[in-house]
Amino acid sequence: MLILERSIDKAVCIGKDVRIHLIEVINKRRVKLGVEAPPDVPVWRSEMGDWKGDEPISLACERFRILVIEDDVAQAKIITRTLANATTAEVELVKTGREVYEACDRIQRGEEDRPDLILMDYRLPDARGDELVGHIRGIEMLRQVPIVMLSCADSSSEVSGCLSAGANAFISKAEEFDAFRTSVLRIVDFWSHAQQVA
Amino acid sequence: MDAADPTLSAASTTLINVLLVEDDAAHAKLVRRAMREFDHVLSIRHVEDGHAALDALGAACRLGCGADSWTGESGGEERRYDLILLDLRLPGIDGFEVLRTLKSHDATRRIPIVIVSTSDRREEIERCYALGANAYVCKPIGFEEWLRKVRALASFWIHVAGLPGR
Repeated sequence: MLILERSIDKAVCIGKDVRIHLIEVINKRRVKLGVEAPPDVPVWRSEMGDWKGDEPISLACERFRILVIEDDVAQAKIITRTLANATTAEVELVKTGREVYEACDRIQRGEEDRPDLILMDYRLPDARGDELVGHIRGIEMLRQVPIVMLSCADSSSEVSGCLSAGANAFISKAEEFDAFRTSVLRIVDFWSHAQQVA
Repeated sequence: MDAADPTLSAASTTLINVLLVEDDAAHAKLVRRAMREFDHVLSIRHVEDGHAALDALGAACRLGCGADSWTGESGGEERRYDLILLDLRLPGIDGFEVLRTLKSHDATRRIPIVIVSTSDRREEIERCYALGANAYVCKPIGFEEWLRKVRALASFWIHVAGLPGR
């Protein structure tokens, strides 16, 4: 049993350099926890169970879900391996515009969970990035999912077009492996800390 | 700090102009201090209310005119902003209205707007993303944590993200 007290001085250590403490109890039903962790430690959202009086609160951690849309095999491998090695994120990879539309349909029908972050290549064999962004943004339940575009080109018109269509950010794929890997990690790190809606 | 960054590319050497819309002087000071650590920040202009923010981005926004030109600083100096940090709680026009206005005009729609707010209320976050915010960052209570978040925010948008006009 983990006993938390409402004081940052009484924070409990749950891992290397990671401590949690109780911030507040909300309406006797939910609790708000504070998490202290070094900058290089990803902190994922948590789903809180309702508090039923004296019963212990069950804390289940949802994995950060990332939808990667990339048709280039080598690039896809870099992205998925980087995410697998450095994060606990759950990653789904699709390669074409058609697969994106099908994934959106499954999400709308409730057959698949909504992703927390979408990394999308601008140029796919059967669709353009800004078109897909527009389609995703037209779906109510996906409107708030951050979409980060990845592109080999650094065209101002591509950047503008995607941001205008509703993409949250646009990243140029660096030529060197290390630089691209660092960019991917920075993207995930930033978006996992940026406030989102559960 | 910048020289050792492996993510720097030729495209990221462009200097950028940041508009900070924040009525809290202490928060604004901290953000400006953190932003100045990054060599790529050409300028960071601070305004304290929504009206001033819209003025800084050109009268075209408010008048609904075609937006090929920008009027910014006093004296008619033109200024183009590459990134906007926007607080929600502002005197006069609030941050939601500023966000809605900027994201509804062709001239300003593509400028990344990062909401920086003390609120973590679900309905406010939802509303910001529905209005087109590029990101929403909560201001933590602690100074050091806030400094860390601002640096992470700046690092992402300056070093990693492509911005229009680069």
